[in-house]
Amino acid sequence: MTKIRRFSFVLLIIVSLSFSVYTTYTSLRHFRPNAGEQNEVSAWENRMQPIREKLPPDVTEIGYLAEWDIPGATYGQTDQYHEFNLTVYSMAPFIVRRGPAHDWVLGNFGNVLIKKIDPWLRASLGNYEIVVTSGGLYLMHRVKP
Amino acid sequence: MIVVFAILILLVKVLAGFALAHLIWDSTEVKALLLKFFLGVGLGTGVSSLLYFLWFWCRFPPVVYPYAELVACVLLPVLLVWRSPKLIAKIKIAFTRAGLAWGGLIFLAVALCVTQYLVRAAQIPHGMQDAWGIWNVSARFIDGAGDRWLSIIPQSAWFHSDYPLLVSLNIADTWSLVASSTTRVPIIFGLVYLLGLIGLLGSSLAFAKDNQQGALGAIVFASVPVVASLTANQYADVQLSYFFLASGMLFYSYTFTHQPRLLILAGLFVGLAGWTKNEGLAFIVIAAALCAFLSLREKKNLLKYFLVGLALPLLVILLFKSITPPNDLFVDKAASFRQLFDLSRYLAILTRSTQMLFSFGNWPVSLFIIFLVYALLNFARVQSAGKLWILPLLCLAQFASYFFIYLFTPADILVHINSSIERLFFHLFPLTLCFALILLPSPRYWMSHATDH
Repeated sequence: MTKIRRFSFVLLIIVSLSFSVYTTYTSLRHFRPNAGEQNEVSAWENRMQPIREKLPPDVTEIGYLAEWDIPGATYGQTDQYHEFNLTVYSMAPFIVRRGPAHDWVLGNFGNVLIKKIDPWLRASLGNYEIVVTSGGLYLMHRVKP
Repeated sequence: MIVVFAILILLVKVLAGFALAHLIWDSTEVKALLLKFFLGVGLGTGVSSLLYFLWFWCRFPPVVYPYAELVACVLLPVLLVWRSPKLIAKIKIAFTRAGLAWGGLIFLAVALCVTQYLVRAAQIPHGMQDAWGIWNVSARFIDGAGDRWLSIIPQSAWFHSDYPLLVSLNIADTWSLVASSTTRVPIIFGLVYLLGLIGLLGSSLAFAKDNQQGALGAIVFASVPVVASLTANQYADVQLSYFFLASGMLFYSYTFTHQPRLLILAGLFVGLAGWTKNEGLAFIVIAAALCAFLSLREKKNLLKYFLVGLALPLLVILLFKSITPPNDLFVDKAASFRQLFDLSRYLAILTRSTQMLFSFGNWPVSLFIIFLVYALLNFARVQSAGKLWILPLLCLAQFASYFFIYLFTPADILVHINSSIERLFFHLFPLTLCFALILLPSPRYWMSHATDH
């Protein structure tokens, strides 16, 4: 018993390091070299980049419209919320507010064709122009009459 | 180049933190110096974030602060060495065969842990959802919005904008200095805390017990996969675990060294826990109650030392909370209060907690069972110095606060538990491991007592 007690810490170290080697081996085996660029957040940021570049320097807040705002559209609430948070992160320090109440509005309409929702957009925004399109995202600017 | 620069900036902060820890607690014992070096991780980055926030609050130009702080952080350790030239001479490392073997094992365990961390961090450079949804987005607003930033906080411009800012301010500060908001900075910041936490655990055990137990603790802790994976998620949990461990060990160390200045440090670290995550706010109340109890028991005003340390972080937390939107846990207090009488919630929390106790750590075999077997094999009546009960008391009281939050939460209880319970266990894991290893005899004990049994 004394011998077991004396060397139990050695056993603990062997067990710990063995599990750690196993975990390291598993994580290296599943390593995807392109994941750094191809992960969801980086991909979303790349889509946002042209939009950020088109915003004038004096703008601090923009509006955000998505499928959850379109009357009668079908959407997943969790997905919509997730994409809104991705947009907030990718656009910071621009403040992104849900709704059309800004001169600059970002549209994230997924598979919905913008031509189809044009009447609804005009009712919400008034006259507008699409300044830039990037991977299904639209930067819209109200046109003053 | 950005990576090297970011590492140097954070290293300078750690050295400044070490100098600050030495100014408060001037013990020159080698083990105390090592402990203070690892306390420097939290102290350097923690105080940096407090001062950065106050800088914003005073409406000073934000671009100046990172550079002014960098100069101060370089000067502080230089001044310390200049004032105490014998300090470095005190650090003598004796290279024994056993010492080298322990050192090699620690190196191996840490290298494996860092590899796991870097591999995972490379896969998720922005961290997991709450990292970019809360902590890193907050850092982007600080870095990008400049002097507008404070006025944005009350507007709920990002998810959970009421969450404390220790992590975000440090990331923003480093982004400013490297002139790029690269994802590598949060990854390096996580790495610094990962190494800091392993080092703090090892050096705390070396200080409170002996070097072998410190080495054993560091090896076991670094070998648990959840340590690297949760750090790579960038959820600020590794920082909170660090501050809980530091605070607990400083309280405990006071009880066997009787140096009240340790309680100043304890107050600072407790406050910094509250400045890291909202869970740390409950810890402030628990630690203050513990300090008041110790004051009564020892018939000394220990609370004044604790409050001196707590003052700066508490001031910053109060200023910050005065402008944040309300926390979403307290939206419907009446409904939440009714939930306190729902027995099914108690059952759900207890069931999931028990399951987590056995599955925590992500080892192929339960870490809890392995450690339990080790503890049973090793159990011997060994006198521990000081009031060791402080450590389990802090853990249990903090766990009770988590239990209460689960009862109170307006979110679906199972969703809330499943998304957070592993991280809550992780908050208390280093402190619990530290307690267990102080309680159990060290390898040195069995080596020297082998013939007596």
